[in-house]
Amino acid sequence: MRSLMKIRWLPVVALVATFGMTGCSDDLFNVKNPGRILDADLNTLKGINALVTGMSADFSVGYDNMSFTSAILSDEIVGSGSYFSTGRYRRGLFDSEDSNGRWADVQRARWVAEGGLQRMADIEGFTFSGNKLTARAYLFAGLANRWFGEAFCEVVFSNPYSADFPGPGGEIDEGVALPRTAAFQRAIPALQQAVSHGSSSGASDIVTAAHGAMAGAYVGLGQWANAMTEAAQVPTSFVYGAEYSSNSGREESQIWAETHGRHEISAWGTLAGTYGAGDPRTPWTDCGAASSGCPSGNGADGQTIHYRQEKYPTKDDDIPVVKGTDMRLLEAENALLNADLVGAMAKINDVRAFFGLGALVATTIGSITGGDGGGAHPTSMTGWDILDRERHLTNWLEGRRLWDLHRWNHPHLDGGGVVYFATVARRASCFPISDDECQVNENIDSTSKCFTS
Amino acid sequence: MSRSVVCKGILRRTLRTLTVAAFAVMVGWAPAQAQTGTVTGSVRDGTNGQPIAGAQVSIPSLNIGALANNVGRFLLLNVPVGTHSVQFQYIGYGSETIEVTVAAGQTATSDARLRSEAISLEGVVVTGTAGSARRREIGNSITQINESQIEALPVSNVADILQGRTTGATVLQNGGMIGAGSTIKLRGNNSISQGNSPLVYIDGVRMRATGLIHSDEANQQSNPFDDINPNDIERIEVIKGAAATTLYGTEAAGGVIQIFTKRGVAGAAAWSLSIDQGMNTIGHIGPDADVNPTGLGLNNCNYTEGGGDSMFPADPSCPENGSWFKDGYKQRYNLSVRGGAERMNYFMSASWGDERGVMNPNACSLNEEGLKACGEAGGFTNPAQGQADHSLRGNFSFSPSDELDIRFNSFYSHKNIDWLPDGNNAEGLLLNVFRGGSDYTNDEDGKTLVMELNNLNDHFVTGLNILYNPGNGMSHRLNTGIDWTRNTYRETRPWGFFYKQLGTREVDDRTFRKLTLDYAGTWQADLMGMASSFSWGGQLYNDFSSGINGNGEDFAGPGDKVLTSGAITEIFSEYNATVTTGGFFLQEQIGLGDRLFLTAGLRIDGHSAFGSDFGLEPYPKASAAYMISDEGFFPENFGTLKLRAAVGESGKAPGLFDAARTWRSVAGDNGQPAVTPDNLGEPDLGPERTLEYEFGFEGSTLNDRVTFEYTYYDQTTSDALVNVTQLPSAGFVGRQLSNVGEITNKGHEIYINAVVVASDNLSWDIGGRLSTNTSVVNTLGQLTSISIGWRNYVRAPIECTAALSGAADFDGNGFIGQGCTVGEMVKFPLPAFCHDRVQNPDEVGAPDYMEQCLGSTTPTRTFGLNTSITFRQRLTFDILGEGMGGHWLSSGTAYQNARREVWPMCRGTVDAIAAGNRETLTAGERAQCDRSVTRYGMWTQRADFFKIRSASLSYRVPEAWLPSSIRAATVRLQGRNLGTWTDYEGVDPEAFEDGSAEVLFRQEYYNLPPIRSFQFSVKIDF
Repeated sequence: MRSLMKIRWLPVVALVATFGMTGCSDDLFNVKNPGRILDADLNTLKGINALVTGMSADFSVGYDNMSFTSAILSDEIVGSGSYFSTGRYRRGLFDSEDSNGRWADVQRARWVAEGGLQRMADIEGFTFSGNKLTARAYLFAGLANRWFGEAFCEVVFSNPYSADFPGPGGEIDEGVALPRTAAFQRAIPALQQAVSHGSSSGASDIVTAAHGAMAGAYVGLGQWANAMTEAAQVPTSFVYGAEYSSNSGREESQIWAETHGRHEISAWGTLAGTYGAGDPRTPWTDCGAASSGCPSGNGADGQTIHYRQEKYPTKDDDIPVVKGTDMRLLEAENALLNADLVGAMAKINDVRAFFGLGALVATTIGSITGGDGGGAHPTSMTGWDILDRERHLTNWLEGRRLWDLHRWNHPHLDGGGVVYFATVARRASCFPISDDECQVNENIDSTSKCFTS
Repeated sequence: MSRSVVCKGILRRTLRTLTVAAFAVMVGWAPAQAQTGTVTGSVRDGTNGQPIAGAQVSIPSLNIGALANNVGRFLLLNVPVGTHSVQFQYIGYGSETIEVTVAAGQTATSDARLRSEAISLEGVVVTGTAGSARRREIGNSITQINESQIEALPVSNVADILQGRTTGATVLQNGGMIGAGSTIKLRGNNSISQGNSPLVYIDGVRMRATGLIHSDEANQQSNPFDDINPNDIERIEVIKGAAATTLYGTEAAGGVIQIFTKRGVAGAAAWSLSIDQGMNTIGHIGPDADVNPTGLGLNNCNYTEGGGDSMFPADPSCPENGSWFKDGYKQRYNLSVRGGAERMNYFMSASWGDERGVMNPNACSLNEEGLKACGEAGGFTNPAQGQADHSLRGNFSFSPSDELDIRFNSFYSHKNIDWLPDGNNAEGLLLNVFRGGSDYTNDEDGKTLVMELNNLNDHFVTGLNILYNPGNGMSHRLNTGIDWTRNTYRETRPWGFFYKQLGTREVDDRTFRKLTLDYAGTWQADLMGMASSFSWGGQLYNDFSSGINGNGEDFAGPGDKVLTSGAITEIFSEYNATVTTGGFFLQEQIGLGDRLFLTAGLRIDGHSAFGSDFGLEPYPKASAAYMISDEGFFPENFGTLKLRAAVGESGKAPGLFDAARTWRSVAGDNGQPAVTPDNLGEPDLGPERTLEYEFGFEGSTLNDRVTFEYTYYDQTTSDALVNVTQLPSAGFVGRQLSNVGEITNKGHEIYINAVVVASDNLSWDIGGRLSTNTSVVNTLGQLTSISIGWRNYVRAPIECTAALSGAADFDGNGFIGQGCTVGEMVKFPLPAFCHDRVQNPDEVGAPDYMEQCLGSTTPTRTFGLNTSITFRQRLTFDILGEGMGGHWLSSGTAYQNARREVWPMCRGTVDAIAAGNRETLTAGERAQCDRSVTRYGMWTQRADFFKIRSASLSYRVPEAWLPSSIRAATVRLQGRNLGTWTDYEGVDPEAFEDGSAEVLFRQEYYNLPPIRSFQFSVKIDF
């Protein structure tokens, strides 16, 4: 009988033993899953290349998104697609929720560069000073901050700089809302470091790009003299691009995908689609033409004629983020600000000549008048209208136009539109602090900083 | 001694008697002893006369029992002379007791007709209990659907069985493509981020029951839940909330569905063959025909009457019959056999079917030069949308002794599904057809059908159940098994395809494996005069999934392709993931006088996805069941009534990498290795916990002719896992799961069934179910709102303002916060549609908008009505209707078409605008139909509906008409989805563009609505 009882209780004993062990053992629930990299594993010398390439990749991914969005929100392109957001942007609407993705993109691009530099400095065996990788990381930190300042109405920094670890310009991140100039101010010391490390490592392209980016940042600060000094370092033919590739989906050009893969934006009805026809800076294909090879002649909204941009005809085409032609036009702008029409037109015509276009002659300096309800004026020959038009066409689909409109308080912002006119008196001219930031950042007063439209 | 102990004794005696009984039934029986007699007879379904194999037949006072054999016959031997009460029982049926007088050396006959009952308090259930238990002992609600109910239903899959017949279950069909999975929820939503699908077990083995690979082009996905052959199912048990699912631990907060497949029964091989032939069809699409004569271009794609419809001009690629629809043929053949001897028995089945959908494939094709040829010249060669499938099952039982029962169950199925491009897809057929001329194809929509979309699903489930009952109240159960699914998705745009001229091919190959190890033991004993049932056990589950997804594009020429045919090839992803979860439990149940049952239990779980600092998670439970009708003070003639109450906790675990801070490998600088931030990580991350209180009663009255059940439940999910936005300005952007949310979820469930007439000539049942569910968000931590897609939001409560309270209600359907008291907190359903709605609809002029949250995307009330009438136990008519309501749905189709001026309901406004009269329109008219100002919110509407889910007419052929080799034959005419009533103005109130995707948001967006089907079936038993 005793042996029978033992047998009966055997499974119970076995169970208790089994689950006693499983409950107490870390091994059972400690599974290994491949595919992700633990944070601490990045602190190695061999990982630095991937870290810096990651800075480039995150910059490209975000810059692409911003260029697409701001093109619709500005007068560069017409939103001809079916995305929910398209209907808002083309009417000039852009609220804090719309900003979520773009805000996250720029913050990531900025932080992976700035935080990466902190990590790189601490990696044993890495020669931080005078290293090309260091220079490139600083360049992306600077470019991301220039992008932050140009595209966003206000900026917030919560990482990585602290009192113990201040940034290259002594920055301390307090997580509060700051005017966009704070981003330009932050960009400059990073770009100066890029010049310094780039010069000592022989990375001339990085050095030139940093000078050009600094010129833009100084413009953002209104420090035109400094801007001109930096712009002068950049040859007209110089182009430094955010890289795109057909190697993987994440690397592909979104603007290509939204125009060649889908029909979400169109040049029809825009300055590029009318005045810019045949202009090498704004190539496009009329998809309604029989020989176009397009699947459809219309945009995804079924209504708007699809003029397919050909500036980025493949998935691999890079978006210029610093280029000499932009520098010349900044110089032209500086000249106009100083009432030097001749000097301005010389710079403008330098650019036109670079693209094989004939010289223009301005009548007067004038002011920016804008087109008939939307965008740059297509025919006005005043100095400012020409500059407006030339910057529009030269920097087309490069993510810079919205900043120009904002900086100039362009008439287009007062309810203008391209094909689809604004449904608000004042179009959005920059991206606000994101709804996500307002929800989780206790330092941000969401009632005043975040809004819906 | 408790009744449960008595039942165990009967069962053991039953098993002992089985061999002799079965043998005797087959060869005839001669009485052996003069002082005893024999009782024999048959057990049949009281409604349709079908034999009930495996029914328990016993004389409790004598401790004698037997099981009916595979043709429903039984034999009780050595019954002492005298008058005895013979009891007949079977799961899902009401018990029956017949007096029988046994004479010495004689054989008495007793034929029983059992009535199917969804609530049989003496029936045994196993789901949610440690071992098996009688329903009267269970303190929570449980739904059972048995074999006879299933056989009467016109079903294609398991989801069809549950639909409309399970209180608390919401089964949405989503779409009309054959092979598309449904969405199944039990008691609505109680998780924000971790899905709301129930756990599913088949014969004790946990199986994957969420969608497989989601096709971006078809926008549907199949669900392995649908692989199970309905003909193989003996019964389904459903428990719906944490109070009942505690013993299943982490992952079980969404409820548990347990499927039991048929087992062998002693006797010669009993075969069953069923043949189904039918068709799928579809009616008019979209708004009524008077304003929409072409059915949004689908019903008629070559409409020229009266000059045609400018919104939907004739399409040169339109099939020859002038419609994008044609009836689809469906056929299925099912063969099964069951039989065995005393110690060993078997059930085996095989099924083959082919079912085609309603889309007309006779459109365009590519010829050898890669050019399209449409219409008559098309000669389209791709298969029509639909699926071919086959399955095999083998269930074997072996009882080496009276104490030991070993069961081995195996199942394999294969499905080959051809999709069509559908939903939110620029290359989709419906999107391009619905948009008339404003589309991507230059209105030659047949070009889209050249895309080839295919799923191959292989599903294998095998399990071993060992039941050991050594006596003295001790029992043990061990389940172990594997659920293995392989899913291969192939998507090909042939060379010459209109949208990508050089073509593309994508292959996604995934394997899912679930391992189950489940042990439970029970010791039943008398404890100080009380019936004690102490249970313990533990489970271990290991889930492994892997997959590779690749793409090839730019082919050199026509022909069949593989990935490497592309000039450019890319591996999108490789995925390997393992999750291990497990735990153990203890439970004690005390029975007082076989009428009051008190149960308390505790489960403790570990999980590989818990944070490193988290540890183990305990889930307690307690319940009480009180058979008040057994008390002397209870009115004797009322019938039976059980009161019950239960409280318990369950949970849901976070995802694989959610606890750890990780980076992801990507590429940059044209293919160079790079990293990007992935997951911030939280070491304290644990499961969300759902605490549920459940109260109710169930019973029967009027001589068991009316059965009823009522349940109220109240769930609170605390530590709810919320994807919390990480401080973006800190740079490590993205969302991190955190245990910061709280949700409440409560509702009522009512079931009633009445046997209006019960006689040999006429039987008439009427049944009804009503379930309500209100799921609201109490807090999201510091977050106020989470967008989950397409203006579907999870929102934290807000304080009522005058602007909210007094906002205009555009269509009289209300909005959240309407009329609230300023200052009170307004809560939002999980999730809610929040959209811009016009505030000045009656003013002439431009619309003013205000964002309003409109209501839940998930139905908040579901009701089912069914009736079944049987004449002379042969001719049965059964009909089931189901309604859902309280929810809202965005018609992306209507909104996008309104933007394109091709929505038929907008003709008047569009014409007025074209005539230059825009300024004469009201803001309401413009808000809906003026393409320049319309918004999604104007096309988000209440989606209440009522549908005739099924109707069937069956006839059991008289045995006299049948050859001797055939035992029974039934013919049946069935229909599904026979009618819809709704005020929803979109395409269909159930349509969902992403099929059975495990997501909270819903939106109708150019996807094929559920279709109608008719089927003629013959079932022959031989």
